[in-house]
Amino acid sequence: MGGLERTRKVPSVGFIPLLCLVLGATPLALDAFGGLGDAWPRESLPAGLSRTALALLPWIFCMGLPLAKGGRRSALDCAVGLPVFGLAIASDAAAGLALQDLLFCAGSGVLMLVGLARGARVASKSSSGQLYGFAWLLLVLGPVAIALAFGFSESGAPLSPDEAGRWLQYSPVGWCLTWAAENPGLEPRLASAPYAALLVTAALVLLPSLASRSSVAGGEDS
Amino acid sequence: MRAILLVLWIASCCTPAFAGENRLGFGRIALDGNVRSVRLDFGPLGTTTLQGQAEGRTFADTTFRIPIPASGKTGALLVPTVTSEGGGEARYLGWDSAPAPMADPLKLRSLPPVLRELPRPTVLSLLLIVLSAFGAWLARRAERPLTALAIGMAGAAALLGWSQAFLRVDSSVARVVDFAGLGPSASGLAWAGVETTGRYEQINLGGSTLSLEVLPEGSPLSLVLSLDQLGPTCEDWQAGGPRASRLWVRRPWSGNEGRWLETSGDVTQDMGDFQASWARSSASEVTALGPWSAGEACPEPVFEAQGPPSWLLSGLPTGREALIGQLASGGTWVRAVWPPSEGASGARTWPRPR
Repeated sequence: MGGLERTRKVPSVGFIPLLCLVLGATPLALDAFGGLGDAWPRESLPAGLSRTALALLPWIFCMGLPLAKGGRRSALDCAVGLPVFGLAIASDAAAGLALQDLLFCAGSGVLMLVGLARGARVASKSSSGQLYGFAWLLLVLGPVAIALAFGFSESGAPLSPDEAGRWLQYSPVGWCLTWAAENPGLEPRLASAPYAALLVTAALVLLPSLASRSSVAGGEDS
Repeated sequence: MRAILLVLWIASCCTPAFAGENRLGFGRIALDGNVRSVRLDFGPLGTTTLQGQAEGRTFADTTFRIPIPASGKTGALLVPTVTSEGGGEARYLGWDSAPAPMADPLKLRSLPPVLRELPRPTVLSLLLIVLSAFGAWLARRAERPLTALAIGMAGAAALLGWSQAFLRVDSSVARVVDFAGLGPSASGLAWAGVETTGRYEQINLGGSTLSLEVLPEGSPLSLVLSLDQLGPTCEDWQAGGPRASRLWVRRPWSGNEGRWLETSGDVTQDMGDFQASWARSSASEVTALGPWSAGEACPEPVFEAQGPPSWLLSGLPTGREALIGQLASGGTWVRAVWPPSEGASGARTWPRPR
């Protein structure tokens, strides 16, 4: 009984949401105090980074991280980050991004982080934790690693070449990086980007459920 | 890399922009019956939209001259697809005219560089983020997920909905007024003046506009005018370009009526108080004159290590005297170039370099 009570007192939300919050809000805070806007022209990369993508990036990365067995993480933890997303969307819209595309991409990003959080949570409660961890490494970090390899080998700039960009589209984190690094001087390419990353997210959400079902079915058969 | 980008940026700030192509044309449209809005789609050139109130406005087969996106370089002028709302009829009658021509000496003046800072969140917005995020975190910690979600969403909605209160957006306008002495006239020296305004992505223009230039070249333009104020004297049109595009509008100078630059004897000016001014001689030597109040004679030269921004001097005709200044109110730049004969006549005193 005492053990149960102690378990109940364990905070359900911890350090990671706060870390994501701080990381996501940092570019906006720098803008507020002239940390980026004064030093860089609008067309250059640091100033042109989408604040919404930067706000979403730590969340998409952290919420999908494989959890230890019985680990507690919920998609609802991202409620802490919603105010930052709101201001980041407003900032991007004021900087000239089309609001419709922006909302579509921000919605896709939130969908990804919710999906990844759910995938990690389901995997931690089932026997497919290791499988999820492997899939997360392969599907989320793999394309980013390949893109970095392409970028370094071809031009030395990790995110600029088309080949690298194509690989980044397959990872939720990579998609967010591509979006963040979008040059505002070029044509917007937000709207067509998130589909591959959403598919990968869907695969990561479904994988633990399917794996645990198949293991249950295998157990019943045996 | 950072240093290279910074150098490139500084160089780009100093480089004058020459968009060159005038994208403003005028067409004629006939409106009949009740019309709420009209949209003319010129394909790659852009659109013209006449936007009215919800109840619309009734016309009796009236013809209007409206601005249309044109492309002078390619000579392309497409027949638009016209769509109207409100039950009435809108017919595009065709090309009407180009804007009134500019005086030749003013055509080649460099455009003011348009720079814009990123939107800046206010301290209040950061405070709201901290409060709502902390509230959501506490609620989540207390195992109240729906409350946490409600707090987070309320914070996001407030920051997004009232973004005007939480973000400082730079809407600064780059403006330069150019004057060119055209030659002697019955009342002294004849001058032509053009006011050039530059902005990011959206700019106001009107019936008197002489030209509309845009960078990147060939960008589609969206011209918007009010159906209720439709008329030849309307000065409340808007032109929009794609994201990060820069637009410049040139209009005839319509500032001070009356004496603004007197050249008989000492040079005096009534344009306003200059916070800084410079004189350029016919040998292209630049002399700093310092502040120059309206109505006063040209001040004595002052020592200054730094000259005017280079874009102001770029494109000015050589072998002529010029006056450059920046008004204290609004930061508008002023350039005046004397005709060659005036410079040689010695009819007035002109400050010489020390």
